[in-house]
Amino acid sequence: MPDRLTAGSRPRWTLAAMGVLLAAGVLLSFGWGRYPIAPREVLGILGSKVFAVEPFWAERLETVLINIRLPRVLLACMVGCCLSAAGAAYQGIFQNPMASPDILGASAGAAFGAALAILLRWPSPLITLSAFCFSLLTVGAVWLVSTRARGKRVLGLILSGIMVSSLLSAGTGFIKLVADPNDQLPAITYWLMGSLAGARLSDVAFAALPMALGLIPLLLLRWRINVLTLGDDEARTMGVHVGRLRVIIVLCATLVTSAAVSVSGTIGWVGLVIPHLSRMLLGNNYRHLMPASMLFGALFLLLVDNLARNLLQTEIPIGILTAFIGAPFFLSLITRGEGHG
Amino acid sequence: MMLQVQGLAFSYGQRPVLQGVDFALREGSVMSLLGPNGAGKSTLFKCILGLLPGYAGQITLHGQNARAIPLKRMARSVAYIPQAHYPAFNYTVLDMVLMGTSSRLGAFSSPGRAEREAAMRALDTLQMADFAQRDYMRISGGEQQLVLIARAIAQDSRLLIMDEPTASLDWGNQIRVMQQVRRLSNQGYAILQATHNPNQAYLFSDEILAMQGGRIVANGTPREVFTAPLMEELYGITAQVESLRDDCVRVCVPREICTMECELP
Repeated sequence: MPDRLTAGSRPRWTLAAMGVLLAAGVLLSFGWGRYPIAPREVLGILGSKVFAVEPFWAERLETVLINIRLPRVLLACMVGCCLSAAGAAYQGIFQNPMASPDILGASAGAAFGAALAILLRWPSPLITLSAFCFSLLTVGAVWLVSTRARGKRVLGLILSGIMVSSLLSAGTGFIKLVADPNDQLPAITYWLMGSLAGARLSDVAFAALPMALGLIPLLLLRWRINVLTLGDDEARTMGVHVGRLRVIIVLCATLVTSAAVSVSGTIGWVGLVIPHLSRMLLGNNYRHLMPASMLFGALFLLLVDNLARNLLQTEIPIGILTAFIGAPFFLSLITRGEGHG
Repeated sequence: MMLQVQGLAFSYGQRPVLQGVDFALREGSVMSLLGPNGAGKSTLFKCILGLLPGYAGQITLHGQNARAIPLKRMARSVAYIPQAHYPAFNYTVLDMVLMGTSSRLGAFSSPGRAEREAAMRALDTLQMADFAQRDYMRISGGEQQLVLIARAIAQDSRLLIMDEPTASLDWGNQIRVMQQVRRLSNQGYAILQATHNPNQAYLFSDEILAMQGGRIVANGTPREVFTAPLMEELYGITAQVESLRDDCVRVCVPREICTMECELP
């Protein structure tokens, strides 16, 4: 009997291994790039920010590491973590394995906000802010529309998400049509492809607060998401406040998605593929699935971003790479026979 | 009394679904609810479970007005056992049963050792402990139904509401599940189950409640209630009810339907 009662140590070890991998990945990513920095120098430069360390490295390397690579590496991890966590959360509360972070229009809204800001020649921080605000507004609009929809609550929400998204995509298309083809149109197109190039510490600072505000509740409420996947009536009879819980989770998932998309542009596939990969590794229990999705998402986007900046002489937009990797991977996943969904 | 329903009425918009429903269920008793599709059985269950608050009349759970019971305590007053179904995601049997303990947990916590012990005890009660680490989606329908019953027991409620627990099961699993239900009632659980199988209702229950068009048309012991005229009234099929083994068993068969050569009575 005692054996059956231990929670099972395997998920915990897997999570710990993921954490170690992520830490190693972060350290290695600091060193990898056009100007390679040895791990000893990476630790030295980072350590010098906290302790008194005699510089034994070129000053140029410190600039590269602190101003360019550090924000980019941090942002890749944060964005990956958020998209994956939001995807896992939406899949649970909508009882739909195909749900992804943009299901309620967060990405379409951010794209429209960014395109509009570029069209109006707003400075770069305002582009991010505009994307963030439009993203939140879009999901808010979707929610309002869905409360007026007849029939099933969840279905109404998903359908209005699709409709409002396509409306905003049309808006973005129109902006691209009237944008100046010399500078605005390429800027919009590049934003839509998603990229972490040019990430600054200010972006990290901007995104950190909404991301933390969303991720912490998602982590704390993760057991309850299991109960929600059984359906509203069943969850209520088990003592779970279904409506309240769903509002909180949609709010948190939207917050982190909007924050991620506004600093990175639209990066697809992470929020769909990574939760499923985590499901295959650790099962569907959100108790382990949520932290696994977060760690795995961070690790995945970090790796892909390394490829994006190092694979070719020119930068590859990360959104293109995630699609190149994500779509075939997902196909292999669904053709492997017995699904986990 | 574990459950007392007095003058219950409910309507969806203008359409009345339940009218003047009165009955009571005591501990250790199995009550079967018979009635054609659309008789209001599911609506009655939803009212009792607190899923449809807009009813008229009174529902009393363990002597307390159900309207006054907050959601979390409600989960420990009455448990709902749906038909075995496929959830969107696969869980282990143990995780599935653990979900029943959610009402005891704070919103931010996950089940711990005490909850796992309760879940294992519940599985033990149904002789399903060996299934704890199996995948819920890869066990048979009968086993799934027993897991859902174990979940209700882990929920710590002594009143179980079962919506056609044997509807999708093969004949053997129907009997096995009903035997477990009977055992639970011997341990003091009160069970209210909807069923479309009158023979089973006669065999396994202490009381039969028959509904038709949102009203109770019969309420009593199986011997009092289970008759051919009632079956005809409920289902609109001329019925023949035969008694076997000194009336320990009664079977209901359609009267005027026969595909082989025989003398119709």
